Amino acid sequence: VTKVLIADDDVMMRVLMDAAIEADGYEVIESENGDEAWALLRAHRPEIALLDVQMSGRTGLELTSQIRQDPALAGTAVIIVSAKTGQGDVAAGYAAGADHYVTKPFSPNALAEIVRGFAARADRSGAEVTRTTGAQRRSQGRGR
Amino acid sequence: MVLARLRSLGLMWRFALVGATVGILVGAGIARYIESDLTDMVLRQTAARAIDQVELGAQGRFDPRDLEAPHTFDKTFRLALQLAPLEAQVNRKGSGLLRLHVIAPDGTIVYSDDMTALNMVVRPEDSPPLRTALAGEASESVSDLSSPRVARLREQGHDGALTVNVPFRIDGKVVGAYELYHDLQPVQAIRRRVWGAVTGGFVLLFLALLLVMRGAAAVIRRHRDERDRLVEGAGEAAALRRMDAMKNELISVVNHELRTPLTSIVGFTELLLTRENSAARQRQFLELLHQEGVRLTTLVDEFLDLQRIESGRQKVVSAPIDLGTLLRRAVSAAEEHADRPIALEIHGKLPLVQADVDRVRQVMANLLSNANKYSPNGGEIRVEARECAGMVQISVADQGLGMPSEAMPRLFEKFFRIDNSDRRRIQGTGLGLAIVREIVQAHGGRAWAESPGLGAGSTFYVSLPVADTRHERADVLLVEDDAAYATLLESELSAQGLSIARAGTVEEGLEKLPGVQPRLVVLDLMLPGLRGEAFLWRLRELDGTAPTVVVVTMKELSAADERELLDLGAVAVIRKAAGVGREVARIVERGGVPTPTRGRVT
Repeated sequence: VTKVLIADDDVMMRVLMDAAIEADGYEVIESENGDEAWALLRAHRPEIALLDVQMSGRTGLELTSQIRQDPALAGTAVIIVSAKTGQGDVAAGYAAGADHYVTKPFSPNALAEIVRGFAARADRSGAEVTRTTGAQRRSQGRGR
Repeated sequence: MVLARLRSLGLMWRFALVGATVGILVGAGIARYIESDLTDMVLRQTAARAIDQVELGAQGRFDPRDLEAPHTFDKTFRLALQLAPLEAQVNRKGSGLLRLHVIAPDGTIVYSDDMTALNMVVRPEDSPPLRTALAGEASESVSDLSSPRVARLREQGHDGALTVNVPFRIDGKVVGAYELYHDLQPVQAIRRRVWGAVTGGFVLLFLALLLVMRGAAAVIRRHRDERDRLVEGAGEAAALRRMDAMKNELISVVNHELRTPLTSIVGFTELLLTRENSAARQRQFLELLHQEGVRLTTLVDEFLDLQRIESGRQKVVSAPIDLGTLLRRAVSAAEEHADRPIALEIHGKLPLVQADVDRVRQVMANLLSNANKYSPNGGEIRVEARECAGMVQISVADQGLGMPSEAMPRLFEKFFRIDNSDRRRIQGTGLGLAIVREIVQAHGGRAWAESPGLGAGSTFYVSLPVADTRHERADVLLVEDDAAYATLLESELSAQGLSIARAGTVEEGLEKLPGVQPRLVVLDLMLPGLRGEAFLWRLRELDGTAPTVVVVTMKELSAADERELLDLGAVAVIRKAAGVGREVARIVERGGVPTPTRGRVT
């Protein structure tokens, strides 16, 4: 089953994101701060991470960079969900290695759709991914 | 006075005056120094010339015997003939010679061009120059013309002369002496010239120096002003930049703070509208929506509140208030929402503070709510109040999460929230403390906080100024604990043009009495603590200065009870009702005599 990590310091945001994707039957892991999120990422290696930017401990951007540098997390797609909506903020998100940037307020249905897209891709490459390296996986992601 | 007048002069004139004074002083000093040398020189020159003139005129031979005593008319006459050319010299205009005496060795003036001086005797022992001349030495000195033999010169307007004493030799033998008086004019002239030149020179020099200095000062001032203007401009620009940065930060913070609840509202509404949800789920979403709506409302309210206070549009309506009562109410209100009891301790007797009741209540609500929110693991909350240096200091202490020292400087800033995971679970707008600070500062007080560190609890302090109640004079003192009735009566009395002071208890009433000096006291009987009768008892102890008291009662009293009150000193007993104010005003007007037609008065 596809694992999704939700990291946001606001409990209401976590409830909303959870409600948005709950119908699709993922295994959802929640975290309310960046450092805890990093520990959960390392422990569970989720296929998809929904990260808030402004959190205590590591920020969403720092987490994204760390995920990209960790071969063990090569299979994790990063979706940033942030209240920071400036062009520069979005650019910084992609520069850090995010696969998608969603601005708040967001449509839960649209977010669910995006998550489904990444989940489907993770399923397709599921068997081969287990033996390919992180670098190759990343170039696949970019070439999309 | 001189200094004051000097100060009123313009700067330029002050400069000139100082320059001239300094010039004169320095010039005179130097002139004096130069003058004494010059005078000596001129004196010697004049003396030499005078001697030459006399010697020249005395070419003719004298008979030495003519100078010996007894000085007969014959001898005098002969001498006069002999010295005629000399006398002509003396009297010649411009010669500078004023007087010529020929003095015999015994001191008798045997010749003078002034007949009155003839035969006067100058004792050689009284006149050292004469003695010197008779001993064969010429000498010159300056005479003040005080001697009788030159009284005429003084009469002619001279006030000094150069005196030259020369030995009178015949065949190399001293037979007498000349005494010549020479005008001091050349000396005076040279003195004037020296003084004038030197002093004038220095005055000009100093004036020139001052002008140069003034010019230099102007240049320096211009440079300094220029620099100041530049610095000021830079400061303003920096301040503008800071304000701009603050504004941008505020916008970004507001953006973020608003976006989060908006996300919930948009998101949950969409889920409700587009998905099939169980009734329980729908209810949950609606509850969350409501919660987020409330959060958004609180945020907007608090933000606007803060803006109003900051911009000064929210006026603080301050009056002397009793903090003890306010704190008790605030604590009991906060306890309803708190997870634990709150302890209140008031140290000593608190004076009234000058404050806006509603605003102070808001401050206490914010502090108590914070104390509760930020101690999730329990622990006691303590509220204390004490008087301290003209202020009443209130502290709210919790045993909760505490604060790191680096957070302290920003603690009371808008939207500042200490960033750690424990706190993130705690909802808040980040505006509560900013509001606290603004309110307290608007009262002239101070708000601050202390914490030994994370996990060690926090204590928040606010101080409010003690009210100055010394001069709280009023026409009527209202001793009444029922605030609603007091307000009604107050508006009725105000309408009659009377001023009112209020007290909630007998003790407070008695305390305020000397300061207020009311013409009349309206006394309620049913008061917390001491009953109203106690007030009347205490008044009887005051001699002559006690004001008239009108008792107001809720229920009809028996005639005996009413009689008792009147015996205690009340002038009237009136049932509480609308319109009592007019009646009270009438009693005040009549100087404390109740109207016989109204009220239950015996």
